[in-house]
Amino acid sequence: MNLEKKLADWQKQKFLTPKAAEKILSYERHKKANEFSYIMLGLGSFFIGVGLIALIAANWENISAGIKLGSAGLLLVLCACGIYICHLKGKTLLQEILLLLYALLILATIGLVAQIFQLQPEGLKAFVFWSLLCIPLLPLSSAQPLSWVWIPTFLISVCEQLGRQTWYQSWQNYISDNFAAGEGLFVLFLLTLIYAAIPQRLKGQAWYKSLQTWLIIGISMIAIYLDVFQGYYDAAAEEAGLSSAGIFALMLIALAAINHWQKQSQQTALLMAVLLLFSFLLQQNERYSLINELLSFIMTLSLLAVVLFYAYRLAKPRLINLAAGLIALRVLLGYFELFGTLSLTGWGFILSGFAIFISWGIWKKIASLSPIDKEEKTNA
Amino acid sequence: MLKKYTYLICLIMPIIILLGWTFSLSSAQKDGTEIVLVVKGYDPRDLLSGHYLLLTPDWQATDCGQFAEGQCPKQDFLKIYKYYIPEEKAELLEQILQNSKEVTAALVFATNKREGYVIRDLRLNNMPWQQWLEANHHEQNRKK
Repeated sequence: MNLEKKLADWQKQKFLTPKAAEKILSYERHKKANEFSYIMLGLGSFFIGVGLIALIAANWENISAGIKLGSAGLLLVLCACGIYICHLKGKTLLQEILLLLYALLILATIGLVAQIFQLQPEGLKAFVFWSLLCIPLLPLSSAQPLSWVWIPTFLISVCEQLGRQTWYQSWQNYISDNFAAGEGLFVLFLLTLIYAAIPQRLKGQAWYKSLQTWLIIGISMIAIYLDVFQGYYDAAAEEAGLSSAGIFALMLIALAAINHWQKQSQQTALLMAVLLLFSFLLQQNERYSLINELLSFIMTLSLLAVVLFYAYRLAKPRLINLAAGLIALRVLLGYFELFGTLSLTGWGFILSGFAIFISWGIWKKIASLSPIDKEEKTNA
Repeated sequence: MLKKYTYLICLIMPIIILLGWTFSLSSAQKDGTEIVLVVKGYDPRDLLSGHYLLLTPDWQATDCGQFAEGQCPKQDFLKIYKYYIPEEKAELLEQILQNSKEVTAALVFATNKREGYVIRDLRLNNMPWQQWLEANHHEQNRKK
């Protein structure tokens, strides 16, 4: 239904006076006219931009190094000025777009300098440099895209560069020795420690939210890796990853201590504890053995249970639904793994139904004891 | 909310660092001590990788006397060097390096303590490659 018909209908229902309907209609027409001019201006700028890029590309070889570098510098300065003006005038959306463009221009300039001075590529070194240059830009952004790109770029490029050092290779072997996903867990631990140590006043920042998102992605990735691949089993191993376990245990204690000191929930510590425990256990048994299939199944459910518990406590219904949906999906996969045939799966489902009812009963009992519920009941 | 000056400093810091880096490279390239490293194609059948010539040091043909203590510090150099060549000249240069045994290619480095070895130029028969190409290409055209 178009707007005119809607307005006529609302007038009939006496929700609107004819005067108000007229005002709405004229406002919407004016807005549409503005949209059209924005589209035309945008299209025009796009064609001019593409044309300029094509012209520069066609004459690239004939442009001297000095002019190339000068133009790159000028573009950077113009972009920085644009960001600053947008910041002063409070044009947030344009400021965010320009910040992204600025970060891209920095990367392009690094590439240009490398080409002009014939610098030799060394893996992802250019991205490490880019990440370092972009650190001061992170607090300037009030939206997540820049930090969302920055975090994985920084981590991947730094790990790649460190991986070229012999001391780091020895460390990689040590931490991953008989400990499934050891290096991934170590990096994740470092991230959770940083995340936990961030002071309260900085928690509203966009980069903090991006870090939160990447932590969830990191934990999920390691959980999926452990669930699907179950580490690697080395029958000849003598130490069974105990030295790595010791380091991880110390990091876990540090994480719990920081969380306690910062007066925040132990959610990350609990999630990491589950990952650590199951990673260690999975490593002790043969891959894809029945016990490891069960362990990986219990691990995923335990992680999701932690998420569900905190989602409930923090009253986040969407997260509750997501965690519950994922639990259901993992249970379904578990049945197919365990029972194989359809009839056995059917019996399994019936039994699970009863198990869920019992769990629900226990859950309600626990929830009734929680301080939030008590408070709500008192208020009611 | 960041203060105006803090915001401005954060914003221009990348430009300042990039500028400093460029000047540092430029001065290292101009002022450093010159080292000439004779090179040959890394894969004689296919020297090009995009716009880059793939070159490998030819230590037997390199004069080790130019280095300190008269020894070639092979560990300080890479095994493969990528040298950027404009697209229109890349194929011609590749053919010349592949087919002509009379042409000796050398990478010229500028060396100093801060930046290490920075490539200054690619020389063909002791001439900057652009000059050599211009001179010899013109000669070839005249012969035709």
